[in-house]
Amino acid sequence: MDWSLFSERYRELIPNFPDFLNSLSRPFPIGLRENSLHCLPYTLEDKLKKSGVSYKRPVSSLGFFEVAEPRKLWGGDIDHHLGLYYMQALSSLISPLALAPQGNKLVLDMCAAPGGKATHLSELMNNEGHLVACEPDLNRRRILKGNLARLGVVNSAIFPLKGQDLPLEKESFDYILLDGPCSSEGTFREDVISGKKRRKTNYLEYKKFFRDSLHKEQKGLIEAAYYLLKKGGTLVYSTCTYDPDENEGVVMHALQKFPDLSLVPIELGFELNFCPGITQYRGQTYCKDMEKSVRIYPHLINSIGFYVAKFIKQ
Amino acid sequence: MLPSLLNNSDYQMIIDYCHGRYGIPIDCWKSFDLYKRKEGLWLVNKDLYKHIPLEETEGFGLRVFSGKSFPYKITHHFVQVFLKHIDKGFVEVSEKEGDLLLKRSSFDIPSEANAPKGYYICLYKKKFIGIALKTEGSFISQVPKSLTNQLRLDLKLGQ
Repeated sequence: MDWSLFSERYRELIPNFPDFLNSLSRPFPIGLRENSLHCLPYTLEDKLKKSGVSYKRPVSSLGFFEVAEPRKLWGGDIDHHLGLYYMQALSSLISPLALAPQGNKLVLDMCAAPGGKATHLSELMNNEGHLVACEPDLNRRRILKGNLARLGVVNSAIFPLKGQDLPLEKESFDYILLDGPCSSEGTFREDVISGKKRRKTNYLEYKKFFRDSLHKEQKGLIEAAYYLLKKGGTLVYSTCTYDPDENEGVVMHALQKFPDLSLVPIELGFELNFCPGITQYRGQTYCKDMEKSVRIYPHLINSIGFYVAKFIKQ
Repeated sequence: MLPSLLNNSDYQMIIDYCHGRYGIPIDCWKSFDLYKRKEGLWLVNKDLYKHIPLEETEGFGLRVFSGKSFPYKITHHFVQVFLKHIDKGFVEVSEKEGDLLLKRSSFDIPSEANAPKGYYICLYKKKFIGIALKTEGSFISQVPKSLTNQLRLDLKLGQ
Protein backbone atom coordinates (compact mmCIF):
# COMPACT_ATOMS: atom_id res chain seq x y z
CA MET A 1 0.00 0.00 0.00
CA ASP A 2 1.11 3.55 -0.68
CA TRP A 3 1.57 5.14 2.74
CA SER A 4 2.27 8.68 1.52
CA LEU A 5 -1.27 9.99 2.05
CA PHE A 6 -1.43 8.25 5.39
CA SER A 7 1.93 9.65 6.49
CA GLU A 8 1.07 13.12 5.36
CA ARG A 9 -2.14 13.07 7.39
CA TYR A 10 -0.93 11.47 10.61
CA ARG A 11 2.79 12.24 10.97
CA GLU A 12 2.15 15.08 13.40
CA LEU A 13 -0.68 13.29 15.21
CA ILE A 14 0.78 9.92 16.17
CA PRO A 15 3.71 9.88 18.61
CA ASN A 16 6.97 8.22 17.42
CA PHE A 17 5.59 8.09 13.91
CA PRO A 18 8.48 6.04 12.36
CA ASP A 19 7.94 3.36 15.02
CA PHE A 20 4.25 3.46 14.28
CA LEU A 21 4.85 2.95 10.54
CA ASN A 22 7.23 0.07 11.27
CA SER A 23 4.62 -1.57 13.46
CA LEU A 24 2.20 -1.69 10.53
CA SER A 25 4.44 -4.03 8.63
CA ARG A 26 4.87 -6.35 11.59
CA PRO A 27 2.30 -9.10 12.10
CA PHE A 28 -0.02 -8.76 15.04
CA PRO A 29 -0.69 -11.70 17.32
CA ILE A 30 -3.85 -13.75 17.24
CA GLY A 31 -5.85 -13.11 20.37
CA LEU A 32 -8.17 -15.58 22.08
CA ARG A 33 -10.66 -14.25 24.61
CA GLU A 34 -11.88 -16.96 26.93
CA ASN A 35 -15.65 -17.13 27.18
CA SER A 36 -16.57 -17.47 30.83
CA LEU A 37 -20.09 -18.63 29.86
CA HIS A 38 -18.84 -21.91 28.38
CA CYS A 39 -19.78 -25.21 30.00
CA LEU A 40 -16.56 -27.12 29.38
CA PRO A 41 -14.78 -28.76 32.31
CA TYR A 42 -11.43 -27.07 31.48
CA THR A 43 -10.14 -23.57 30.88
CA LEU A 44 -8.53 -22.10 27.80
CA GLU A 45 -5.22 -21.96 29.66
CA ASP A 46 -5.53 -25.71 30.42
CA LYS A 47 -6.06 -26.32 26.72
CA LEU A 48 -3.10 -24.19 25.65
CA LYS A 49 -0.81 -25.82 28.20
CA LYS A 50 -1.95 -29.30 27.20
CA SER A 51 -1.43 -28.65 23.50
CA GLY A 52 2.05 -27.19 24.12
CA VAL A 53 1.25 -23.92 22.37
CA SER A 54 3.28 -20.92 23.44
CA TYR A 55 1.11 -18.06 24.58
CA LYS A 56 1.26 -14.72 26.33
CA ARG A 57 -1.17 -13.01 28.66
CA PRO A 58 -0.66 -9.30 27.98
CA VAL A 59 -2.93 -8.43 30.92
CA SER A 60 -2.78 -10.99 33.72
CA SER A 61 -6.23 -10.12 35.08
CA LEU A 62 -7.95 -10.77 31.72
CA GLY A 63 -8.82 -14.17 30.27
CA PHE A 64 -7.08 -13.12 27.07
CA PHE A 65 -4.26 -15.03 25.42
CA GLU A 66 -2.01 -14.17 22.51
CA VAL A 67 -0.89 -17.15 20.45
CA ALA A 68 1.39 -17.51 17.47
CA GLU A 69 -0.36 -20.30 15.61
CA PRO A 70 -2.30 -19.94 12.35
CA ARG A 71 -5.69 -18.24 12.56
CA LYS A 72 -7.20 -21.14 10.58
CA LEU A 73 -6.18 -23.62 13.26
CA TRP A 74 -7.98 -21.72 16.02
CA GLY A 75 -11.11 -21.11 13.96
CA GLY A 76 -11.39 -24.81 13.11
CA ASP A 77 -10.74 -26.08 16.60
CA ILE A 78 -13.55 -27.95 18.31
CA ASP A 79 -13.29 -25.84 21.45
CA HIS A 80 -13.96 -22.82 19.25
CA HIS A 81 -17.17 -24.51 18.08
CA LEU A 82 -18.05 -25.35 21.66
CA GLY A 83 -17.71 -21.73 22.75
CA LEU A 84 -14.54 -21.87 24.82
CA TYR A 85 -13.10 -18.75 23.20
CA TYR A 86 -13.57 -15.98 20.68
CA MET A 87 -10.79 -14.81 18.37
CA GLN A 88 -10.31 -11.10 18.91
CA ALA A 89 -7.69 -8.38 19.06
CA LEU A 90 -6.71 -7.01 22.47
CA SER A 91 -7.84 -3.49 21.47
CA SER A 92 -11.36 -4.78 20.80
CA LEU A 93 -11.73 -5.73 24.44
CA ILE A 94 -11.33 -2.16 25.63
CA SER A 95 -14.74 -0.76 24.66
CA PRO A 96 -16.87 -3.45 26.43
CA LEU A 97 -14.55 -3.24 29.44
CA ALA A 98 -14.89 0.55 29.46
CA LEU A 99 -18.69 0.26 29.30
CA ALA A 100 -18.61 -2.29 32.17
CA PRO A 101 -22.31 -3.18 32.05
CA GLN A 102 -23.87 -4.69 35.14
CA GLY A 103 -26.18 -7.70 34.93
CA ASN A 104 -29.93 -7.17 35.18
CA LYS A 105 -29.76 -4.01 33.09
CA LEU A 106 -30.86 -3.22 29.56
CA VAL A 107 -27.84 -2.91 27.28
CA LEU A 108 -27.65 -1.98 23.60
CA ASP A 109 -24.95 -2.90 21.11
CA MET A 110 -25.85 -0.60 18.21
CA CYS A 111 -23.60 -2.17 15.56
CA ALA A 112 -23.30 -5.69 16.86
CA ALA A 113 -21.94 -7.91 14.05
CA PRO A 114 -19.87 -10.00 13.96
CA GLY A 115 -20.46 -10.32 17.69
CA GLY A 116 -17.07 -10.11 19.41
CA LYS A 117 -18.07 -7.17 21.56
CA ALA A 118 -21.70 -8.32 21.93
CA THR A 119 -20.63 -11.69 23.32
CA HIS A 120 -18.12 -9.95 25.55
CA LEU A 121 -20.85 -7.64 26.88
CA SER A 122 -23.05 -10.63 27.62
CA GLU A 123 -20.18 -12.25 29.47
CA LEU A 124 -19.59 -9.07 31.51
CA MET A 125 -23.34 -9.10 32.32
CA ASN A 126 -22.94 -12.71 33.46
CA ASN A 127 -25.65 -13.60 30.92
CA GLU A 128 -28.17 -11.63 33.02
CA GLY A 129 -30.39 -8.69 32.08
CA HIS A 130 -31.04 -8.09 28.39
CA LEU A 131 -28.69 -7.31 25.55
CA VAL A 132 -30.19 -5.83 22.39
CA ALA A 133 -28.02 -6.31 19.31
CA CYS A 134 -28.66 -4.41 16.06
CA GLU A 135 -27.40 -5.42 12.63
CA PRO A 136 -29.17 -4.48 9.39
CA ASP A 137 -27.09 -6.65 7.03
CA LEU A 138 -28.39 -10.21 6.58
CA ASN A 139 -25.03 -11.90 6.09
CA ARG A 140 -23.41 -10.11 8.98
CA ARG A 141 -26.46 -10.91 11.11
CA ARG A 142 -26.06 -14.63 10.36
CA ILE A 143 -22.51 -14.47 11.69
CA LEU A 144 -23.70 -12.53 14.73
CA LYS A 145 -26.40 -15.10 15.50
CA GLY A 146 -23.92 -17.95 15.09
CA ASN A 147 -21.48 -16.35 17.50
CA LEU A 148 -24.12 -15.52 20.11
CA ALA A 149 -25.34 -19.12 20.03
CA ARG A 150 -21.86 -20.63 19.96
CA LEU A 151 -20.85 -18.70 23.06
CA GLY A 152 -24.06 -19.63 24.92
CA VAL A 153 -25.56 -16.14 25.12
CA VAL A 154 -29.06 -16.39 26.53
CA ASN A 155 -29.76 -12.72 27.26
CA SER A 156 -29.71 -11.35 23.71
CA ALA A 157 -32.34 -10.16 21.26
CA ILE A 158 -31.39 -9.35 17.68
CA PHE A 159 -33.00 -6.57 15.65
CA PRO A 160 -32.50 -6.61 11.86
CA LEU A 161 -32.25 -2.84 11.88
CA LYS A 162 -29.81 0.03 12.03
CA GLY A 163 -29.31 1.35 15.54
CA GLN A 164 -31.02 4.62 14.53
CA ASP A 165 -34.20 2.77 13.54
CA LEU A 166 -34.73 0.81 16.73
CA PRO A 167 -38.47 0.85 17.57
CA LEU A 168 -37.96 1.64 21.24
CA GLU A 169 -38.86 4.57 23.41
CA LYS A 170 -36.34 7.25 24.32
CA GLU A 171 -34.24 6.64 27.40
CA SER A 172 -34.69 2.87 27.33
CA PHE A 173 -31.14 1.68 27.92
CA ASP A 174 -28.80 1.75 30.91
CA TYR A 175 -25.72 1.09 28.79
CA ILE A 176 -25.01 1.60 25.10
CA LEU A 177 -22.02 0.52 23.07
CA LEU A 178 -21.60 2.29 19.76
CA ASP A 179 -18.72 0.65 17.94
CA GLY A 180 -19.81 2.14 14.68
CA PRO A 181 -18.85 1.90 11.04
CA CYS A 182 -15.51 3.58 10.41
CA SER A 183 -12.67 3.69 7.92
CA SER A 184 -10.91 0.84 9.84
CA GLU A 185 -7.45 2.34 9.46
CA GLY A 186 -6.49 0.67 12.73
CA THR A 187 -6.61 -2.72 11.04
CA PHE A 188 -3.85 -1.88 8.54
CA ARG A 189 -1.51 -4.53 9.88
CA GLU A 190 -0.28 -7.76 8.44
CA ASP A 191 -1.94 -10.97 9.42
CA VAL A 192 0.39 -12.94 11.62
CA ILE A 193 0.78 -16.01 9.44
CA SER A 194 -0.55 -15.42 5.95
CA GLY A 195 1.36 -12.19 5.47
CA LYS A 196 -1.64 -10.71 3.68
CA LYS A 197 -2.50 -7.10 4.27
CA ARG A 198 -5.87 -6.90 5.93
CA ARG A 199 -6.73 -3.86 3.83
CA LYS A 200 -5.51 -3.13 0.35
CA THR A 201 -6.78 0.40 0.10
CA ASN A 202 -6.63 3.41 2.31
CA TYR A 203 -9.82 5.30 2.73
CA LEU A 204 -7.90 8.56 2.42
CA GLU A 205 -7.77 7.69 -1.27
CA TYR A 206 -11.55 7.49 -1.43
CA LYS A 207 -13.64 10.37 -2.70
CA LYS A 208 -14.62 13.11 -0.29
CA PHE A 209 -18.32 12.34 -0.47
CA PHE A 210 -17.67 8.85 0.86
CA ARG A 211 -15.83 10.20 3.87
CA ASP A 212 -18.45 12.87 4.45
CA SER A 213 -21.26 10.33 4.35
CA LEU A 214 -19.38 8.15 6.83
CA HIS A 215 -19.00 11.08 9.25
CA LYS A 216 -22.66 11.89 8.83
CA GLU A 217 -23.65 8.32 9.65
CA GLN A 218 -21.40 8.29 12.73
CA LYS A 219 -22.97 11.51 13.97
CA GLY A 220 -26.46 10.15 13.30
CA LEU A 221 -25.67 7.02 15.28
CA ILE A 222 -24.28 8.88 18.29
CA GLU A 223 -27.33 11.15 18.32
CA ALA A 224 -29.61 8.09 18.26
CA ALA A 225 -27.55 6.56 21.06
CA TYR A 226 -28.03 9.69 23.15
CA TYR A 227 -31.82 9.59 22.78
CA LEU A 228 -31.97 5.87 23.64
CA LEU A 229 -29.80 6.26 26.76
CA LYS A 230 -31.41 6.69 30.17
CA LYS A 231 -30.43 9.60 32.39
CA GLY A 232 -27.49 8.38 34.46
CA GLY A 233 -26.70 5.83 31.75
CA THR A 234 -23.32 5.13 30.17
CA LEU A 235 -22.41 5.36 26.50
CA VAL A 236 -19.16 4.16 24.95
CA TYR A 237 -18.23 5.28 21.46
CA SER A 238 -15.40 3.47 19.74
CA THR A 239 -13.83 3.04 16.33
CA CYS A 240 -10.86 1.19 14.89
CA THR A 241 -9.47 4.24 13.12
CA TYR A 242 -7.00 7.06 13.74
CA ASP A 243 -8.96 9.73 11.93
CA PRO A 244 -9.83 12.63 14.31
CA ASP A 245 -12.89 13.49 12.19
CA GLU A 246 -14.32 10.05 13.02
CA ASN A 247 -13.18 10.07 16.64
CA GLU A 248 -12.82 13.36 18.50
CA GLY A 249 -14.90 15.08 15.80
CA VAL A 250 -17.92 12.83 16.42
CA VAL A 251 -17.48 13.01 20.21
CA MET A 252 -17.26 16.82 20.04
CA HIS A 253 -20.42 16.90 17.93
CA ALA A 254 -22.27 14.94 20.65
CA LEU A 255 -20.91 17.10 23.49
CA GLN A 256 -21.93 20.32 21.71
CA LYS A 257 -25.38 19.07 20.79
CA PHE A 258 -26.21 17.48 24.15
CA PRO A 259 -25.01 19.54 27.13
CA ASP A 260 -26.08 16.84 29.61
CA LEU A 261 -23.58 14.43 28.07
CA SER A 262 -20.09 14.46 29.56
CA LEU A 263 -16.90 12.53 29.01
CA VAL A 264 -15.53 10.48 31.90
CA PRO A 265 -12.16 8.77 32.31
CA ILE A 266 -11.81 5.16 31.20
CA GLU A 267 -10.81 3.09 34.21
CA LEU A 268 -10.16 -0.56 33.51
CA GLY A 269 -8.35 -1.70 36.64
CA PHE A 270 -5.14 -2.45 34.73
CA GLU A 271 -2.55 -0.43 32.89
CA LEU A 272 -2.05 -0.32 29.13
CA ASN A 273 -0.01 2.17 27.19
CA PHE A 274 -2.91 4.33 25.97
CA CYS A 275 -2.53 7.83 24.51
CA PRO A 276 -5.09 10.48 25.44
CA GLY A 277 -7.57 11.80 22.91
CA ILE A 278 -6.34 14.92 21.14
CA THR A 279 -7.49 18.49 21.81
CA GLN A 280 -6.44 20.03 18.52
CA TYR A 281 -5.54 18.96 15.03
CA ARG A 282 -5.06 20.95 11.85
CA GLY A 283 -7.15 23.93 12.84
CA GLN A 284 -9.77 21.93 14.70
CA THR A 285 -9.96 22.46 18.44
CA TYR A 286 -11.62 19.97 20.71
CA CYS A 287 -12.42 20.42 24.39
CA LYS A 288 -9.92 19.66 27.15
CA ASP A 289 -12.09 16.76 28.36
CA MET A 290 -11.24 14.95 25.13
CA GLU A 291 -8.08 13.80 26.92
CA LYS A 292 -10.33 11.46 28.91
CA SER A 293 -10.87 9.43 25.75
CA VAL A 294 -8.11 7.05 24.67
CA ARG A 295 -6.21 6.32 21.49
CA ILE A 296 -4.57 2.95 20.98
CA TYR A 297 -1.59 2.71 18.65
CA PRO A 298 -0.06 -0.57 17.51
CA HIS A 299 3.54 0.45 18.30
CA LEU A 300 2.55 1.10 21.93
CA ILE A 301 0.12 -1.81 22.40
CA ASN A 302 0.77 -4.82 20.18
CA SER A 303 -2.69 -4.93 18.64
CA ILE A 304 -4.78 -2.93 16.17
CA GLY A 305 -5.42 0.82 16.30
CA PHE A 306 -8.47 1.94 18.27
CA TYR A 307 -10.24 4.92 19.79
CA VAL A 308 -12.57 4.76 22.81
CA ALA A 309 -14.60 7.49 24.54
CA LYS A 310 -16.90 7.03 27.51
CA PHE A 311 -19.84 9.31 28.31
CA ILE A 312 -22.29 9.67 31.16
CA LYS A 313 -25.70 11.23 30.55
CA GLN A 314 -26.58 13.51 33.49
CA MET B 1 -44.49 -17.50 13.18
CA LEU B 2 -44.45 -15.03 16.04
CA PRO B 3 -42.84 -16.25 19.23
CA SER B 4 -45.29 -17.11 21.97
CA LEU B 5 -44.55 -17.30 25.64
CA LEU B 6 -45.13 -20.79 26.99
CA ASN B 7 -48.10 -20.85 29.35
CA ASN B 8 -47.61 -21.71 32.99
CA SER B 9 -48.78 -25.32 32.81
CA ASP B 10 -46.61 -26.15 29.78
CA TYR B 11 -43.66 -24.39 31.38
CA GLN B 12 -44.18 -26.31 34.61
CA MET B 13 -44.31 -29.57 32.65
CA ILE B 14 -40.89 -28.78 31.11
CA ILE B 15 -39.42 -27.82 34.49
CA ASP B 16 -40.72 -31.00 36.12
CA TYR B 17 -39.48 -33.11 33.21
CA CYS B 18 -35.99 -31.60 33.38
CA HIS B 19 -35.89 -32.06 37.15
CA GLY B 20 -36.93 -35.69 36.93
CA ARG B 21 -34.88 -36.58 33.86
CA TYR B 22 -31.70 -34.53 34.35
CA GLY B 23 -31.83 -33.44 37.98
CA ILE B 24 -31.94 -29.73 37.13
CA PRO B 25 -33.13 -27.89 40.25
CA ILE B 26 -36.47 -26.15 39.80
CA ASP B 27 -34.97 -22.87 41.04
CA CYS B 28 -32.69 -22.75 37.98
CA TRP B 29 -35.63 -21.77 35.81
CA LYS B 30 -36.87 -18.80 37.78
CA SER B 31 -34.76 -16.29 35.87
CA PHE B 32 -35.87 -17.57 32.44
CA ASP B 33 -38.86 -17.60 30.10
CA LEU B 34 -39.46 -20.18 27.39
CA TYR B 35 -40.89 -19.19 24.03
CA LYS B 36 -42.33 -21.48 21.39
CA ARG B 37 -41.01 -20.41 18.03
CA LYS B 38 -40.64 -22.30 14.76
CA GLU B 39 -39.85 -25.89 15.70
CA GLY B 40 -38.53 -25.51 19.18
CA LEU B 41 -38.44 -23.79 22.50
CA TRP B 42 -36.20 -20.80 23.10
CA LEU B 43 -34.77 -19.89 26.45
CA VAL B 44 -34.36 -16.22 27.24
CA ASN B 45 -33.94 -14.16 30.38
CA LYS B 46 -37.19 -13.39 32.16
CA ASP B 47 -39.42 -10.49 31.13
CA LEU B 48 -37.67 -9.63 27.88
CA TYR B 49 -41.09 -8.89 26.35
CA LYS B 50 -41.62 -6.10 28.87
CA HIS B 51 -38.66 -4.20 27.46
CA ILE B 52 -38.71 -4.80 23.73
CA PRO B 53 -41.24 -5.60 21.01
CA LEU B 54 -40.39 -9.25 20.34
CA GLU B 55 -42.35 -9.30 17.07
CA GLU B 56 -39.75 -6.94 15.60
CA THR B 57 -36.79 -9.08 16.60
CA GLU B 58 -35.24 -11.68 14.38
CA GLY B 59 -34.09 -13.91 17.17
CA PHE B 60 -33.40 -14.04 20.86
CA GLY B 61 -31.94 -16.32 23.47
CA LEU B 62 -30.99 -19.90 22.74
CA ARG B 63 -32.93 -22.82 21.32
CA VAL B 64 -32.78 -25.36 24.12
CA PHE B 65 -35.40 -27.81 22.85
CA SER B 66 -36.28 -28.81 19.33
CA GLY B 67 -39.45 -30.47 18.08
CA LYS B 68 -43.08 -29.51 17.78
CA SER B 69 -44.50 -30.94 20.97
CA PHE B 70 -43.64 -32.57 24.26
CA PRO B 71 -41.42 -34.53 24.80
CA TYR B 72 -38.96 -32.22 23.09
CA LYS B 73 -35.41 -33.07 22.12
CA ILE B 74 -32.77 -31.32 24.19
CA THR B 75 -30.20 -29.40 22.16
CA HIS B 76 -26.51 -28.76 22.53
CA HIS B 77 -27.42 -25.32 23.90
CA PHE B 78 -29.53 -26.93 26.61
CA VAL B 79 -26.41 -28.68 27.85
CA GLN B 80 -24.40 -25.49 27.40
CA VAL B 81 -26.71 -23.57 29.76
CA PHE B 82 -27.53 -26.25 32.31
CA LEU B 83 -24.51 -28.60 32.38
CA LYS B 84 -23.34 -27.42 35.77
CA HIS B 85 -26.76 -28.29 37.24
CA ILE B 86 -27.27 -31.63 35.48
CA ASP B 87 -26.59 -34.63 37.71
CA LYS B 88 -28.29 -37.46 35.83
CA GLY B 89 -29.27 -38.48 32.33
CA PHE B 90 -25.61 -38.94 31.37
CA VAL B 91 -24.01 -41.93 29.70
CA GLU B 92 -20.27 -42.47 29.54
CA VAL B 93 -19.31 -43.80 26.10
CA SER B 94 -16.28 -45.89 25.21
CA GLU B 95 -13.94 -44.99 22.36
CA LYS B 96 -15.85 -47.27 19.96
CA GLU B 97 -19.25 -45.96 21.05
CA GLY B 98 -18.02 -42.38 20.86
CA ASP B 99 -16.76 -43.01 17.34
CA LEU B 100 -20.19 -44.33 16.31
CA LEU B 101 -21.90 -41.39 18.00
CA LEU B 102 -19.78 -38.98 15.99
CA LYS B 103 -20.46 -40.93 12.82
CA ARG B 104 -24.13 -40.23 13.57
CA SER B 105 -24.83 -43.95 13.79
CA SER B 106 -26.68 -45.98 16.38
CA PHE B 107 -24.81 -48.00 19.01
CA ASP B 108 -25.46 -50.20 22.01
CA ILE B 109 -24.17 -49.72 25.54
CA PRO B 110 -24.60 -53.09 27.28
CA SER B 111 -24.45 -51.58 30.77
CA GLU B 112 -27.32 -49.21 29.87
CA ALA B 113 -29.52 -51.84 28.20
CA ASN B 114 -32.25 -51.39 30.80
CA ALA B 115 -32.03 -47.61 31.01
CA PRO B 116 -35.30 -45.82 30.24
CA LYS B 117 -35.96 -44.40 26.77
CA GLY B 118 -35.21 -40.76 26.12
CA TYR B 119 -32.45 -38.31 25.34
CA TYR B 120 -29.07 -38.85 27.00
CA ILE B 121 -26.08 -36.57 27.40
CA CYS B 122 -23.02 -38.47 26.18
CA LEU B 123 -19.66 -37.99 27.82
CA TYR B 124 -16.35 -39.29 26.57
CA LYS B 125 -13.56 -39.13 29.14
CA LYS B 126 -15.88 -36.82 31.10
CA LYS B 127 -16.15 -34.41 28.16
CA PHE B 128 -19.60 -33.67 26.74
CA ILE B 129 -19.56 -34.77 23.11
CA GLY B 130 -23.19 -34.98 22.10
CA ILE B 131 -26.73 -36.14 22.66
CA ALA B 132 -28.16 -39.58 21.86
CA LEU B 133 -31.73 -40.86 21.83
CA LYS B 134 -32.27 -44.21 23.49
CA THR B 135 -35.04 -46.18 21.84
CA GLU B 136 -35.89 -49.86 22.41
CA GLY B 137 -32.34 -51.09 22.64
CA SER B 138 -29.93 -48.76 20.91
CA PHE B 139 -28.72 -45.23 21.29
CA ILE B 140 -29.19 -43.09 18.17
CA SER B 141 -26.78 -40.22 17.65
CA GLN B 142 -28.27 -36.71 17.61
CA VAL B 143 -24.95 -34.92 17.08
CA PRO B 144 -25.20 -32.13 14.48
CA LYS B 145 -23.43 -32.98 11.24
CA SER B 146 -21.46 -29.74 11.44
CA LEU B 147 -19.65 -30.86 14.60
CA THR B 148 -18.96 -34.51 13.91
CA ASN B 149 -15.77 -34.39 11.84
CA GLN B 150 -14.05 -31.82 13.99
CA LEU B 151 -14.98 -33.60 17.20
CA ARG B 152 -13.66 -36.91 15.87
CA LEU B 153 -10.40 -35.26 14.88
CA ASP B 154 -10.10 -33.49 18.19
CA LEU B 155 -10.80 -36.60 20.24
CA LYS B 156 -8.79 -38.83 17.89
CA LEU B 157 -11.75 -41.20 17.63
CA GLY B 158 -11.80 -43.87 14.92
CA GLN B 159 -8.24 -43.15 13.77
